[in-house]
Amino acid sequence: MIAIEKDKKYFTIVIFLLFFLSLVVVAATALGSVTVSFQETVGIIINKIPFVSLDGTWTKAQELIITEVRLPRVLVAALVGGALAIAGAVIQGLFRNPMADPGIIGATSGGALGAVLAIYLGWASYYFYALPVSAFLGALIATFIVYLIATDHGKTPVNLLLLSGIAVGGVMISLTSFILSLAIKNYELGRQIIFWLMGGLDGRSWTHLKMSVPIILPATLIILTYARDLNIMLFGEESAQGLGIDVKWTKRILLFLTSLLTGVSVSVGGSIGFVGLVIPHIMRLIVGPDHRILLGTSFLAGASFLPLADLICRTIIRPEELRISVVTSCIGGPLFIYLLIKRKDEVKSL
Amino acid sequence: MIHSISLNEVSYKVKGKRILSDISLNFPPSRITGLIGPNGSGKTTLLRLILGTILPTSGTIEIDGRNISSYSRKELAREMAILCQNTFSNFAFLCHDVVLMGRDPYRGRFEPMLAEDYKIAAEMMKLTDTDQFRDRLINELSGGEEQTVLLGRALTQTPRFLLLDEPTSHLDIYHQIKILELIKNQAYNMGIVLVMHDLNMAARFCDRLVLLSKGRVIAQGTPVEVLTPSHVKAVFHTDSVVRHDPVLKAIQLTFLNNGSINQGFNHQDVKEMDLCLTNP
Repeated sequence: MIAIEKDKKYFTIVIFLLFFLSLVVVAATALGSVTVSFQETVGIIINKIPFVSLDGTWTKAQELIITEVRLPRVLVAALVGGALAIAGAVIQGLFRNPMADPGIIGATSGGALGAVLAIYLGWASYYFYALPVSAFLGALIATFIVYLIATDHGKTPVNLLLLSGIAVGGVMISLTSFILSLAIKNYELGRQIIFWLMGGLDGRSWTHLKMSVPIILPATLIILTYARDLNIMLFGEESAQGLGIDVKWTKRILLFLTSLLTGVSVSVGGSIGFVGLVIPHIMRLIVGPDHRILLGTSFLAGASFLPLADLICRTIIRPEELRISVVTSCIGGPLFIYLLIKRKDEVKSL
Repeated sequence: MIHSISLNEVSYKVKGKRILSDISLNFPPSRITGLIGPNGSGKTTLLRLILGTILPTSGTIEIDGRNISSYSRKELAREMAILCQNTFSNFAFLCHDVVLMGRDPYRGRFEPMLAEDYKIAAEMMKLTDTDQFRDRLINELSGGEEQTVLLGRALTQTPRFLLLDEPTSHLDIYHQIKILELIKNQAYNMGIVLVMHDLNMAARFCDRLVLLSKGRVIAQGTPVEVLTPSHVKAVFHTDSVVRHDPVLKAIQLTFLNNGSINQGFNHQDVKEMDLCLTNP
C-alpha cells in the first residue's frame, strides 16, 4: 500500500532534514576567519549544554568565538530561516496561490517601514530594542490594516486580501523610499537603512536569539496543529465549512501567526528575500501539498538554508560581508527558474 | 418530528435586498428532497442557510428542534455534510487522504486519526466504488471520478443529513446516474437535500420537490404535484408536456420551444395533452 510507503518516505525525509540541519549548524559555526576544527566545534557546542563538561583541546579564545560570536548568529539564522519558510508555506496554502509569500500580507514591507523609521529618527542608536520592536509592530500593524481593508461583512475573501496586501505593501514601500531619500544626505544613516533593507545577520547575539525564540517556537508549534485545517481549506472555503472548519477564525489565527513569524524575522534579520517563497515550493515538489508534512519540512529546510546563505555572506568576500538578501535571491532566484523550467507540469498542479 | 431539519419563516436579506422571504419547510429523514427553481431563485442561498455558513435575517432553522446557531461548526459537520458545486481539487492529494478528511469533525486539533476513522473511510470508498482510486492523486482523476471521491468524503462524515449543490451539473451521463444512484441508496439512513437544475433527473430521483422562485416557495410535494406544466410555465417561462415514463416509473417533462406555435402546438393543445397524459 502506497499510504504506508508514503509514511516511510516522510519519516526518511524528516530524519534527513534534521541531520542536514545539525550538519549545517556545526559547519557554519566551525568556519570563519579563526580556524576551529569540526570536532572542537562539536565539543564546544556540547559543552554549552547545562551539566555537561567535556575536556577539550580548544583555547579560551576559540570557545568564546564559537559560543559568543558564531553560534548565536547561526542559531538566529536557523530560526529566522525556518520562520520565514513555514510562514511562506502557510500563506501559499491559505491563498491557494503558489506565488504568495509572507510579504503578500504586508508584514515584510510594514516591518521594513517600522525599522527604517526607527533608524531615521535615531531611536535605534539610543535604545537597543527600539529597532526590533518598531519593525515588529510595523509588521503587525501592516497586516492588521491589510486584513481590515479586505474584510467586508465579516468575510475576508483571499483575493481581496491579496489585492489589499499588494496595495498596502506599495504604500509602505513608497513611504520607506521617501524616508530613505530624506536620510541619504547623511551617508552613515543612508548606509544603515540600505543595509538593513538588504537584510543581514552580522553581530546577532544571544539577545537576538532570546527575543525571537519565545515567539517563533510557539507560533510554529501552533501552526503545525493547523495542518489538517489548511489541507481541507485548499479544497475551497464552503466545503471546508461543511467539514467543520471555522474558516473565519482559522484565517485570522493563521494570518496573525504568520505576521508574528514574519515580524520577528524582519526585526532580527532585516528584509530577507525569497526564503518564504522558494523553500516551501521546493519542499512541495519533494513531499507534495499535504501540510501535515509540508509545514514541518519547510521549517527544517528554511532553518538549514539561511545559515548556509549567511555563511556565504561572511566568508566569500572577506573581510567585507555580503548582505543576506543578495545571497538568498542569488541562490533562490535561479533555483526557482530552474524548477519552473524543468518541472512545469508539477509546479502547475501544486 | 425526529431527525428532521425545519425552517420556520426564514428570510434572508443582503444589503436590503430580499433573497429569501418567509420560507417554512421541513426536510424529513430517509427522503430525498429536491430544491428546484430558476437561476437566482435562492436555492443555493437556502442550502447555505441550512449549512449555517450564513445566518438568516429573521426566522429560525432547527435540527430536531435545536436551533443550528447553537451548534459549533464541528457539531454541525457531524450532523450534516455538503457536496459543493465548486470544490478545488487541483492539488496532488491521495484520494484516500481526501476521503479521510471526512473524519476531521470527529477529531480534535491535537488528536490523530484513529483506526476507526481509517475503517469508515475505507468502507465509504468501497461503497462509492472509489477504492480503486485509493492510492491515486485526486488531481489526476476525471471530473466525474473526482466528484465520486468527494461524495465518499461527505459520506465518511457519517452525517444524518446530506446536502448536495448541483452535484452532477457538469458531469457526463454515466457519472450523473452513478452519483444520483449512490445518493438514492443512502437515503434509507439519512435525509438528503438536493439542489438540481435538471428537472427530469429531479423527478426521477427525488421523493419530494420544493419549487422556488424569486425567494419564495411556489409549490412543494411529490414530483407529480410540483412538476405541472402550469408551474413550469409560471416559473421557468417554458411550455412543457408531462408524461409518465413507464420504464423509469417516474414523470418526465418534455420541453417545447418557447413560442411553441412553431411546433404545431398552442397552449390549449398543451393543456389538453397534459390532462390526457396525467390522467391516463
